[in-house]
Amino acid sequence: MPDLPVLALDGISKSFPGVKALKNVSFLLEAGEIRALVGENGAGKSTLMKVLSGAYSADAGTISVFGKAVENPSPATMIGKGVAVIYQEMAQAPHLSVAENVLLGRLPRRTGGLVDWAEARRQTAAVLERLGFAIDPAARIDTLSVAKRQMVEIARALTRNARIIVLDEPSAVLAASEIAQLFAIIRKLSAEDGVAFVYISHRLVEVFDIAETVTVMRDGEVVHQCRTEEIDSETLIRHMVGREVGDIFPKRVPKIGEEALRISGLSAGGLVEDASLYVRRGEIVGLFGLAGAGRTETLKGLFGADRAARGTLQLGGKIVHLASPRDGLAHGLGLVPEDRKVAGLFLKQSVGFNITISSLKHLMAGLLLSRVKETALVDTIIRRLRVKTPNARAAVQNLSGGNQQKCVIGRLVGAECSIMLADEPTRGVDVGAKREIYDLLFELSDSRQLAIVIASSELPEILNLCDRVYVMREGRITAELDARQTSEEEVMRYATHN
Amino acid sequence: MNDVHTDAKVDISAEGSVGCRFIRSILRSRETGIALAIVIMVAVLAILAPSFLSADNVSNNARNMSFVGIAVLGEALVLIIGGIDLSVGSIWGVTAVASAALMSYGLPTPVAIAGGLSVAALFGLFNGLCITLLRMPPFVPTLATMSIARATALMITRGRSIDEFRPIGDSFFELGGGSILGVPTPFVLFAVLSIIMWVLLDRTIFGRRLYAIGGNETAARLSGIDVDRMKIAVYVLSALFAGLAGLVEVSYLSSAIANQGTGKELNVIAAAVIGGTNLMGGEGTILGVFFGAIILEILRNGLVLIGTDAYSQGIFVGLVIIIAVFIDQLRKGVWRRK
Repeated sequence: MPDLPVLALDGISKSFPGVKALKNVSFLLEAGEIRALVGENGAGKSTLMKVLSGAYSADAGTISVFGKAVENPSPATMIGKGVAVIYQEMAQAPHLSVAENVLLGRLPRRTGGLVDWAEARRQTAAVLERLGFAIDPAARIDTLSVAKRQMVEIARALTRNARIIVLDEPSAVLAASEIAQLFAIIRKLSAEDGVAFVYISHRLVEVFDIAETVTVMRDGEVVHQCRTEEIDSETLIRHMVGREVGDIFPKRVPKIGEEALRISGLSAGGLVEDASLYVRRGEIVGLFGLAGAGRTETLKGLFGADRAARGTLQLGGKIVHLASPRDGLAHGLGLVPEDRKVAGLFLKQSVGFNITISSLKHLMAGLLLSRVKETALVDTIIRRLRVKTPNARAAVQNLSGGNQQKCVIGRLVGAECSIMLADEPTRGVDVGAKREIYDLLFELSDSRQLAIVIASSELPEILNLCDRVYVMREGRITAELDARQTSEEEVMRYATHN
Repeated sequence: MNDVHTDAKVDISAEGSVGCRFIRSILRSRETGIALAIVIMVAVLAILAPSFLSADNVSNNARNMSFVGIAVLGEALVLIIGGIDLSVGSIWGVTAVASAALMSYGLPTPVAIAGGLSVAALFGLFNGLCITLLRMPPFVPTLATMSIARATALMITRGRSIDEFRPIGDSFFELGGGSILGVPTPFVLFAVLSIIMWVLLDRTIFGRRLYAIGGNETAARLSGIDVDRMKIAVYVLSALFAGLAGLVEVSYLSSAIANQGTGKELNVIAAAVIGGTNLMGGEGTILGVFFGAIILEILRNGLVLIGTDAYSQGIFVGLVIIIAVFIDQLRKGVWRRK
C-alpha cells in the first residue's frame, strides 16, 4: 500500500486586487520525492510558495500534510508541520552567527535561562557536518557567500525537522560547483531521510538533472504534471509559455540613428569595473548577466543614482557629469528601476500622481499646477501606453504588475526622456502583459527614436528584443554581441566562468 | 485573465454620473468622518453644557486652538514626508522669549519678530541638516533640539518672565489678543495660513513632492526629486510655524516665560494624527489637521464644561487618538487578511 502523500494541495486559489494569482492549484508530493515547479515569471510559483509557507492565506482550497488538512495555516504552524520554504532572498539575521541563525528561536539553554553557546555550536556543527558543509558555526552570516547562506538555511530547516523543503530558485545565485554540491545534498536527504523537495527553477537543464517529477504552472494554473523522463525540454517550454516563443516577441527592423550615450571606464556600486558601452537612438541594447554580475549597478551608475560612480559619460557626443538622478532626468535619461514596488512606484498614490511626478514643471499655470494640463498628460499616457485602470485617480497599488510597470514607463515618456534605462522591465509581469511591454518599448524606440538599454537575466528576452547585447560577469563586460547572430549558449558562455 | 478582471472594474466605476461619484468620494473621504465627529461633539456638548455655544466660549476656543493649530500646519509637512519633529514645543518657547527679549531691548516690533523667527529657523535648519547630511533618524536631532532650544529659552530669561516689553495697548498685542470682525486674530491667522498651506500641498510642485517623499523616498529620489533639500525646507518650515505659534501666544499673554510651549509637541502631533495624518508618511491633508486641532480644543473645553476631573483630561485625549486611528484603519481595511 502506498504511503500517504507528505503534502497535498487541493484546489488552492488566491486573488490580489487586479490579479487572480492562483486558480485551483492542486498537486501531491510523496515522501522523498523531488518535484520541480516550473513556470515563467508571474506564473504563480512564488505566490504558491507563500501560501505553502503560511505567509499568505489562500482564498479557497486546502493544504494537507501527512494526510491531515492544516487549519488556518500560518508561518508558525507550517514550520511546525515540517514545511520549510527557503526563499531566494533569505530571511536571515545578517549580524548574527551561523549557529544563532540555524537555531534561531530555539537556542539551547542552561538552567537559569542563559544560552548554552557551547551546545549551540556543537549542535550546529553536527548538522553542518551531516550535510557535508564546511562552514564555521561561529562565523557571522554577512561574511558568508550567498551559496553558504543558502546552506545555512537548509541546515536550519533540518534542525526544525523539516520533511518538506521548498527551494525558490536556489541556483540563480549559485556557481556551477555550488549547484552540484546542493544537488548532492538534496539527493542525499531525499534518499536517506525521505525528505521531499519542491525545487522551483526556470533553468530546464537543472530540472531534468535533479527532479523526478515536474509541475508546470502558467497564469496561476497548473497546466501540466508528469515524470521528467516522460517529457523533453521543448514540450516543457511549450507548456510554460502556452504559445510558440516567436509569438511573445514582436518583430521589427530598427531604425538606428546617431549615438545617444557612451560611457567609458565606468566603475560603480563597488562591483562594476571598467565597463564601457554605447547606445544609439532607435536602438535597443541588452545588458545580460547572472545575479551579481553588475547589471543594476551599471544602470544606476549611468543614471547618476550612484554618487561613487566614476567614468566618462558622453550624451550626444558631449561629456557630462551626472551627480544625481535629478541631473540624469534633466539630461533626458530615465530609469525604470529593477523593483518597481521598492524603487519605482508611490503605491498609495493615484495613477495620475505616479505618471506626472517627474514632469510637474511642464504642468504649471502660473504658480500653481494646472489641473487641465495634468489631466491632459495623464490621459494621453494612459491611452498611448494602454494602461488598464478604472481611472486616473485609482491607487496604483490596485493595478496589475504589467500596468504598474506601464505607469513607471509612462512617467519617463511624460518627462520626455530620450534615453531609457530599463532594469528587468518585465519582472513579475504575466505573459500577456510582457508582450504589451515589449510592443511598447518597440513603439517608443521606433516612433520617438528612444535609445533603450534593457538589463535582464532572461535570455530569450535579451536575444529577441535587443539589437546588440553586452554580457556582464562579476562586474565586467565580457562581450559585445550582435543579438541576431549570437545564441543562448554563446551568451551564457560569456556570462559564466567557462 | 488579468485584463478581464481590470475591465470589470472599469465597468463598475463607470456607473453613475460624475456628480454621483463626487458625492460618493466625499462620503468616503477621511475628512468627512472627522467633520462628522466635530458635529457630534458640538451637539452633545450643546445639550450637556449650554454655555458651550455661548459667544464668549466659542471665541475663546477659537483663540485657544489657534496656537497649537498654527504649529500643526508645520508638523503636518514633517509627518507627510515620513518624519517627526519633537522640537516644536521648545522652538515655540525659545521664539517667544527671544522676540520678547528683543522687544524689551527696544528693537522695533517687526525686527523683534524677524529675530525670533530667525532663531526658530536656525533650529529647524539644524534638525534638517542632521537628518540629511548626517543621515540621522528624525527622532534623534529633534529630540536633541527639544532639549537645546528649551535650555536656550531658560538662558535668555534666567528663569524669570519677560514683562512690559511693550506699553499697554501697543499694536503688537493685537496679534494674539485682538479680533478682526469679531473673530479672534489668532484664529484668522490660523485659518489664512491653513488655506495657504492647503494650496501649497494640493496645487504646487512642492506639495506634490512632499507626498512623493513620504510615499517612497527611494522612488522620489529616482524620480528626480532633491529629497535632501526638500527635507531641510520642511524642518525649517515646521520650526517657523512653531515659532509663530509662540509669538502669537506672547502677544496674547503680553508676557513671555521660558516654559511656554512645554509639552505642546504632544498636542501638535495628536492633532495631526486625529486629523488623519499617517505617521508612516505619504498621507495627510491640511483640512484634516485643521479639524484635528478643532477636535482637540473642543475636547479640552468640553471636559472642563461638563465638570470632568481636570487631572483626567489626558486619558480622554489619549483615547480619542486611539479611536481616531482605529476608525481610520477600519476605513482603510487594514485588518482584511493578506
